[in-house]
Amino acid sequence: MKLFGKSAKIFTGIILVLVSVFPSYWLLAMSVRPMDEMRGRISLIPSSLTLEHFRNLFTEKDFSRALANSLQVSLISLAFSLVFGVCAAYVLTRQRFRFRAKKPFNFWILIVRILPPVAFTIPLYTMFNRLGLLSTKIPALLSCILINIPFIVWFMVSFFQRLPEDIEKSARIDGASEWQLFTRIVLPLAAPGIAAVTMLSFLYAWNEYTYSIIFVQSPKNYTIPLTLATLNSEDSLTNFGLVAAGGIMSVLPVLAFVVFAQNYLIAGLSGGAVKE
Amino acid sequence: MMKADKRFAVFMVLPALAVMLIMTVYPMASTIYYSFTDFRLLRRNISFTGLKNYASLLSNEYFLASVWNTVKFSLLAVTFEVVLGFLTALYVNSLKSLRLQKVLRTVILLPYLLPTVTAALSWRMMLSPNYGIVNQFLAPMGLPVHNWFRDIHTAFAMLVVIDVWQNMPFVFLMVYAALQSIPQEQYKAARIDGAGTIAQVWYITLPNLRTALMLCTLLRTIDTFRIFDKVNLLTGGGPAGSTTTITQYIYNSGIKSLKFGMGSACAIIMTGLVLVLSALYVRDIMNQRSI
Repeated sequence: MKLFGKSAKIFTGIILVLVSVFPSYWLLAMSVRPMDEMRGRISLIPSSLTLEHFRNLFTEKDFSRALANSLQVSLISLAFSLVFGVCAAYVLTRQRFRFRAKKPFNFWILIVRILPPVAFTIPLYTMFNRLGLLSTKIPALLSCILINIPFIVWFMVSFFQRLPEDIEKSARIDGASEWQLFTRIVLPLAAPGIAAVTMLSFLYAWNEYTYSIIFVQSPKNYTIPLTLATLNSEDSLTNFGLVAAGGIMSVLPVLAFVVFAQNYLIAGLSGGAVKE
Repeated sequence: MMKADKRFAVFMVLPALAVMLIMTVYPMASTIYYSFTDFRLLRRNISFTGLKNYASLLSNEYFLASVWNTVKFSLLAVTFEVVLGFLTALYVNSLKSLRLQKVLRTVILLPYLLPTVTAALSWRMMLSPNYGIVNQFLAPMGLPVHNWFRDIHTAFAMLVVIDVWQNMPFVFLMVYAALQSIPQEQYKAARIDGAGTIAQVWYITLPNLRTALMLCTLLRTIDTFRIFDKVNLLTGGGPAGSTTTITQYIYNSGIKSLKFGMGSACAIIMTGLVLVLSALYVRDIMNQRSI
């Protein structure tokens, strides 16, 4: 199909690449640019490089704490969401398990994916407040679980539905228990799907902002997005380098996934239909 | 089902079920309940006020403006995202080298993969009125420069631009995947019948992409409707309320001011709108997924 002429094709390609890459490039360029090169006319390419913004980020803004908070919240919420979500999705898809809550549960999972976060935030806030949790990281952690369980269940249900139940039935006849069946046969077959949801769930938790800004109250519990947002509100040139350096730090996990596991990441993005 | 199997099934589904009950079913029910009360966080007694919150919201011009802003934002952003995503997918799919296709796919996805906060801050840096690269480029060319996020004529448009920039790749990815599953024989047959490029797109590509395009439109609508992070970071709803979306409105005048009853009523109205928008999709998908 000939839709674009040759020179139009090249031109479109260049524009697409520029538009996609430039804001990220600019973040990187600002993060390594010395302060005096940010004033006046800014060159597209910094003429000398510095790591001072990264250094300041860690020494003055205590970024290592934000990094630790983000890792803690993302990894712990990921572990819970993954175990709970994958187990639930498996039972939901198997005809041999029948119970009354099955259909309503599956329906509610879809509804939660669709509803805006504000449908839940106010009562959750009062609940966390009553339990005295607002000064801890637990609300942030629970919010990530709340976001990721529906995502994982939804994604894994369509994944498990593609694995035929017959294999499991014959293994059952051969005397394997349900638990053995699940851990030894089903989970290894589901590994590609699990890899995809693991990466995406981690990213959703890593990037989470809406719930955190409402539930996380003390700066010592701030995750990376919240820390970046506070740097952003102090509007001065000194912060440009810090924001840029922090922004680069926030991108590292995505970068690692793109470099090492791009195919799983993309499978997760396009298979997870209802997006976060 | 044997007894042991029943125990297994319950054991597997119970943790997720419990989390959903505590974190979503109970909150949803409470939001509905609060919306009929004058609940404020720091006040002891809650009294039932019936539809009063709803009545005062529906006559509150700021709230109505936030609904209109949200609808406008969704319409504009989704239209551009779907159209540009579709065209980009056609473009990438038309390239001969598969390797180039794969590299471009990754590059195009980049904005979508960035954390929203990071993406927003990068744009803020580029658009800064004093030190931004954008104004520095526009000024010498005699083009108008603005304080982009503080100027009432540009703030809203900038939010749309940034959202389109960040989420167009999602549509691209979905359409690109769908494009590759169109059987090539259809094009071959059309060419034999003498169909030109435009005719091929119209009669073969578009009908085949119908499902993917509808799904993208819906998913992007749901997502843009709840927009909050970009707004809160870049404009805080200003200038003069011109970028206040529903979620930002609830955040400012329901949550931060601790008027939880009123905030809940807003949330319920928003929930209702979202459910109406997605009702057909929910019905279709529940019919498809036999569980």
